[in-house]
Amino acid sequence: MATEAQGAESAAGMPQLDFATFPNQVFWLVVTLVALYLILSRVALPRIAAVLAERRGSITNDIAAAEELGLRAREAETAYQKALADARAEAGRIVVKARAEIQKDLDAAVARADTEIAAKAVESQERIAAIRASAAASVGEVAREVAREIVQAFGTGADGRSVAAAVTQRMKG
Amino acid sequence: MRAVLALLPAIAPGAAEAASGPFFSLSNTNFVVLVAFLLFVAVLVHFKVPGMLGGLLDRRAAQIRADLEGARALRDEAQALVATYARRSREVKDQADRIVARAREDARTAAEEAKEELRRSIARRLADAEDQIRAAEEAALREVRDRAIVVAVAAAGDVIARQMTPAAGAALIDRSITEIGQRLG
Amino acid sequence: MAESAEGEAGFAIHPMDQFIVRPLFGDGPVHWYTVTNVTLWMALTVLVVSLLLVVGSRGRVLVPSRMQSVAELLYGFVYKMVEDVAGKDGARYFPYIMTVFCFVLPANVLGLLPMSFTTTSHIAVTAVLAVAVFASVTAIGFLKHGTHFLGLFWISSAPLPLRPVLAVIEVLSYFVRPVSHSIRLAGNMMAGHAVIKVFAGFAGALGVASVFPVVAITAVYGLEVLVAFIQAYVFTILTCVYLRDALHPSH
Repeated sequence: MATEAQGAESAAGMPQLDFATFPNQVFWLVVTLVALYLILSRVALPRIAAVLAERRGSITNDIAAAEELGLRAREAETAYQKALADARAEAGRIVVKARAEIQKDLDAAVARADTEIAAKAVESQERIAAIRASAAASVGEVAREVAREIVQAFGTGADGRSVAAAVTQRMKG
Repeated sequence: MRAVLALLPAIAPGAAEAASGPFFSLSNTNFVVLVAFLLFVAVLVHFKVPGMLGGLLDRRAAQIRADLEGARALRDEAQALVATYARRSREVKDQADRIVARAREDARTAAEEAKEELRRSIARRLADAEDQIRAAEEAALREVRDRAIVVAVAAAGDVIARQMTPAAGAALIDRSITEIGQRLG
Repeated sequence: MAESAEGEAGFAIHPMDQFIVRPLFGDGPVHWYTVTNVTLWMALTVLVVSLLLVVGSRGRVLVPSRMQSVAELLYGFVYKMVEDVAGKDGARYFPYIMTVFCFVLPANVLGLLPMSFTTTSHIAVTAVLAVAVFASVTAIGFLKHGTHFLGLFWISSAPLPLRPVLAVIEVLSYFVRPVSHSIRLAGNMMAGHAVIKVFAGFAGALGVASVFPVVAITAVYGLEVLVAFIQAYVFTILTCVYLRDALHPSH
């Protein structure tokens, strides 16, 4: 330790043990601590705490918002897909219905055509039958005519009666 | 720091006086301590300690910025996704309408085509049926005519045969008649 | 002021002079209200804290400047210490503990400047701090737990015959706490500064060889920076430990 006394101001031993200075140190320490406490608790700490909280809040807010938005996006996606599927199903139904209606029309048209054709066939059968029936009558007439001409062509005169009789004979045979 | 240091002899007169003699002297302990202190600071600067500390603080700021921006980006991304689906679901009505309209249109064209096709096929069938009927009628007429001729020829033959008694002429006549029959048929 | 002609020849080493409390203006006696070098260096401590924590956090930006980062790190460091050591319910005493830390650390660091006055090297200062901690913690203990706080001294896990003996030891050690708390800090700060001054005193007589004491002081400076931080940390964490004992006295 320093030894020689250097006057009142120099440290004879440990200045820490100079009790005369204690009130001064204690007083200024208390003032300092109060000032520090006020500065910290009124200004600095709330401000820093606010910044830290705001930062954490910003991050958690963003992440929470992102999650919520993601949820909404998924919902929107399902709704979108559902709407599309509904539209396709509706389209399918329309096609099926339209096809059924067309088929009905077609079937009706086919039926109509069938009856028409059938009617025509019947009519034609009748006409053929009529032709055949009238033919039976006209065969004799035509045959008589033709036979008379053939006979005349051979120059042999022949009365109509005998020709007619011959034709009638032949038609029977 | 440096400014405070420069002020020291001025603001701490008591301390400066505690060591006696001129300030810039090795006998002055305050001067010696000051030299050592400056040396210490120089060593710190030489080993880039202040730069390291500054870099540490800058990295912390960068990390915080990255965290904030990462979270913000996540949120923006989700927002954009929502916007996309909102737009799409607004469009989905149109899209659905278009799909249904196209389906209707397709069905209508298909119906028209089918009807056209059917009309053609019915026309064809009718035409076929009419052809058949006409053919049948013609066949019937021809049959009648053929029979009439056969009958006429035979009857004429009978009549002529009865009139031409001389047998000599008979063969000739027969042949002639056959000839005429052929010409007429 | 003081003549010291005779000291010039030999090793005129007065390593304790740096600790003398003296009036800042004039030469008179040191009254309790006198503006002294204690006042100056304590004011500088407040100034440094204000610069760092108030001015540094002025921007309140989400992405911090360097200064704000330091402020946030200090805040987080002490807050985590309080929470980890004293528990969640200790967090409401955080401003007080932060005040202690924000006095001791800058005071220790400012004391490293040449020709500075180290307020924390004075037992009067550290004792006031330690006694304040001791008194507050004891008051909190009794206010929170009433007489159950005395369970701190009654070690129920020890064999019954030993408990009274242990209780005496525990009580004694409890009252020794402020003593060790304060002397540890003041002693550490004083010792380093005295050593520096002793080395500096050698320089005058060594001529060219005074390089050695200068280098030695530089080395001691490195040590002292560590000591300044460690002692501030130790003082604060001990405060937290005492607070934990007051909040959760049961062993």
